[in-house]
Amino acid sequence: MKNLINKLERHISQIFSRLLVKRKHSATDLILKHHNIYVVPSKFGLAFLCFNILIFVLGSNYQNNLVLLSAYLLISFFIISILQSYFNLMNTHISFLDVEDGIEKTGYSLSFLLSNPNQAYSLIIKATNDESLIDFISVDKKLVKLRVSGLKRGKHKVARIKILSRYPFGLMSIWSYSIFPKSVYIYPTPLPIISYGKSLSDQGDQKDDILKKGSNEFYAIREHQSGESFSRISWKHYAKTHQFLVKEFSESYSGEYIFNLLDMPGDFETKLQHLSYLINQAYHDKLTFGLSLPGKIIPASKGNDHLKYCLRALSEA
Amino acid sequence: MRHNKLNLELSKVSYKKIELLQSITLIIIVLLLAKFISLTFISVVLLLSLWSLAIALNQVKKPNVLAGNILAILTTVGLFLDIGFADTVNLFVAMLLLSTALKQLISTSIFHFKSICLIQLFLISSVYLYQQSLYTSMLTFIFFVGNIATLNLIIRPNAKLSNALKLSAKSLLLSLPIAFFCFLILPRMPSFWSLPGPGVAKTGLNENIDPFSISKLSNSSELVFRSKFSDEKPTAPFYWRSMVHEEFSQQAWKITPKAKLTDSKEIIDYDTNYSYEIIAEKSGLHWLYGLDYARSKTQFVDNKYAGLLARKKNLSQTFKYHVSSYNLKNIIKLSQYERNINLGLTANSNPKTAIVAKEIKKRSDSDEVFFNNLYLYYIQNKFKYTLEPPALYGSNKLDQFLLESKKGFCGHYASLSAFMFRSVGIPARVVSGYLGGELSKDKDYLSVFQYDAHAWTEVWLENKGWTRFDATSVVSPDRLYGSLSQSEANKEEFLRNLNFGLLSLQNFPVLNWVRLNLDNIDFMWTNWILGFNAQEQQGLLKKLFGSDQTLKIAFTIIGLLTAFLLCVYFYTVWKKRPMYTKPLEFEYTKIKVWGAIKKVPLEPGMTPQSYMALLNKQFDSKSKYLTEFSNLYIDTRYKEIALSKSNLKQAKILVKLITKN
Repeated sequence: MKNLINKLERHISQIFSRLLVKRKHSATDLILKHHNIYVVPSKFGLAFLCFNILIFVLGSNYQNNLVLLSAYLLISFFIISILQSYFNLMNTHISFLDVEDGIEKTGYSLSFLLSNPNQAYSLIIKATNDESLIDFISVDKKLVKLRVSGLKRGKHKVARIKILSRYPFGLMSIWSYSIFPKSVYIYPTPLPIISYGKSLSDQGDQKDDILKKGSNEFYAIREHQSGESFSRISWKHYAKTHQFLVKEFSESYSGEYIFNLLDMPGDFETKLQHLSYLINQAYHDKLTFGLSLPGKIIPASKGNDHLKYCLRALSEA
Repeated sequence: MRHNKLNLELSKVSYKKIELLQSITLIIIVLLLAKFISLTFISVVLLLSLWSLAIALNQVKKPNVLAGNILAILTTVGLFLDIGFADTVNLFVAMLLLSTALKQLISTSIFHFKSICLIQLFLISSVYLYQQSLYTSMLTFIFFVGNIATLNLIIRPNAKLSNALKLSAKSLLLSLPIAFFCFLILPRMPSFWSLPGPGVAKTGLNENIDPFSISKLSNSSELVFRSKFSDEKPTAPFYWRSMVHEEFSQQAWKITPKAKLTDSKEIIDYDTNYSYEIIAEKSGLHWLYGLDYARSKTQFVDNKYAGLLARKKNLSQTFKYHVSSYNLKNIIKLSQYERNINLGLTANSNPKTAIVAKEIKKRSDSDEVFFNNLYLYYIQNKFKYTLEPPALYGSNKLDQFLLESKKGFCGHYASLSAFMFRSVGIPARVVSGYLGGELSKDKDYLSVFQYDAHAWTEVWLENKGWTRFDATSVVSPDRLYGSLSQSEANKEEFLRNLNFGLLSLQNFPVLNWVRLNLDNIDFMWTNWILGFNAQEQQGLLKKLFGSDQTLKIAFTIIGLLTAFLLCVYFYTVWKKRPMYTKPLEFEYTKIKVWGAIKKVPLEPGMTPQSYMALLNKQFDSKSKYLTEFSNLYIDTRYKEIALSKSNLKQAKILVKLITKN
């Protein structure tokens, strides 16, 4: 039964978001106005109303004008607070700033600016499973950064942001959504691979050579030497052996590396995770690398943009 | 889950603000109710709330859960033992008080604060069951402000206390008009079920008149009722009859069971009939007040024996009713029952008094002559009116008073006179009520206070009917006119007996003026707000809407409410419109609008300078003005040369010239 209700609820909210929310809330710059703000009494607001009814009953029973007047006063206050909570959120400006791709484990991060020509107080900004409390915003733009996690690898639409406030008295929940028409990639979480003995390169005749070297030179682990960058320390080994070991792509070899999915151990997802690890390492060591995926081959290149391109290809594989 | 998170972020300091507001509110409520609920209980709750105040002020620590629970059990048991189950209303309010006080002691989370807020709202409203004066109401309004401010602080813990209070006061003041409107228009509901009224401390009149105990009345300057005469005012003195005491036993005059029954006898003679309105304050007794033979048609008023009035229900609030008064002497016939009861005396009581009465009777030819001779007797024997009579002992107090002390107040004289009339065979009874009253500044209404309490005698004279005999009128004549507060002869004594209050400062003209004005405001408050009952509302609705009200009322409420909310809405939207805070921004916007109309709008990426140059190219005729404005704009905005008044004026003129066609 509970399942059914949950399902129904989800269904309704889906219809709701498809029909209403999308049209009015989809923009990189959104100004909250009457057509995209929703007001509903909060749980506390409903409790407040119940107490109000009790006071009214008390006043009626004793035919006591002042108790009745108090009940009316509180009811009117409730009505006024609908307007007040609306005014709080009115004219709030949400503008998209940036979205950074992320990995499955940590999720992606989304940043945007909030401002209001007057002042808006006590905002709760929510995106899927992260929320942030903001005491107040004013004309000065306020940067909000949220992290959305729990997503599988792949291309995703940027999560819908919910802007909620119970200001001024907690009687009303007033909220709006902002949907940025942007997409974001979630990469496979890098999974370290100790040795990678097989590689493809365009230099066919050296192939055997590389294979032989593979485990000790092409990708090797050696002791850390003072003065070296810490970025390459294998922390996994440190945790096991308490030795500073450095992962190394052989510097003597300056050719191009094409990492092939089929060479990776484990199931499909694990393979992708290993690849994700490898290209990150390769980028770190300023190597020229490429990818070979089923149905897609990315020629070797260098640099940040190339890394991003490769990772996106992995996430969509 | 979110609650937990919010709780974590709610800093300790903001807790303190909420705790402070809530504990202060509770302390004042406890003090307001102190008079009505058992003193032991009140002091326990007061201690608890002082404790939470000390916690809020960082003086002591919160009790731990175990201590809190033990305290709760102990106090609850104490509550039931102390207050008992007889008075349900008091019990109910006491339970509310105790639960709030205990909850405040152990409150740690948002949820606690929120529930305390709600209970306090209820508690604040129930203060009205006990007190309804204008001042209490204003105080209560302040409580509401404080309570709502805590709600704001819960939502926004970083807010300043003063800002929270300001915001809540503003919101409540804004809701007042709607509240009053609903109060006037929304039809009253009858009681859903019958509830006992809250016990009110008994002050004022007593159903048994023992003259030797009425002196304490003079101490109280509490208002009893106000009366408003609709057309012509009857002439003073005003004897407000409340109770008739016909049974004399054990030194005291008591009300007979018959007098307590409803009496629906109609008055046939409508001759000397005048009508007026009375707004009676709450009282422990159900007896009401009226002049002479009073009848009332107001709902809930019970017409009783001998032209008295009483309320049918023990209403918890001020009560307004309409009275028509007829001359007592219209009732010519005395029934056998009345004759018997009004002649009844206990055998062998006060023998000396009976002898004196019989002596006077011997000198008198008729009942009427005896009536006058008794007055003479009081004058000749130099009886004195005093609020501080010497104490009398024994069973024959009337004898002692008549022959020895000769000093007393109304109760003594009424009692003695009635006794003397009865002992010579003339039917007589003691009536208690109030005498006089204080006219308001503009002579609109009469206020009667507890110290105006009075007792006198009514005597049955053949062919004349019931006639008032008030020995006080000869002993202290100026007591008859106006209030006791205005009586010159007893002034000093009166003031000495009065509790400290505004009235006791009446020797200072300014303060007296203030007192009378405050009284005026209080009268309007009682008349319009407290006295507004279902009948009056019906009258008002009929006047406003005529017949077939329901639909019209509904439409009016919805219409006016919408109109009010729209007004608030548009006002706020107007107030929150974009403001031009930088110099010349408004003027520049005007030019932009004009440009857009002329189809040369500002393209994205254009600076004001380049846009003005573009306009300059497009509109040759305006070139001169545009250049000048552009220079002015650049000077003020980019070179940071302060804009002088004359420059601003110049800029305004330029804008006018540019935008003209």
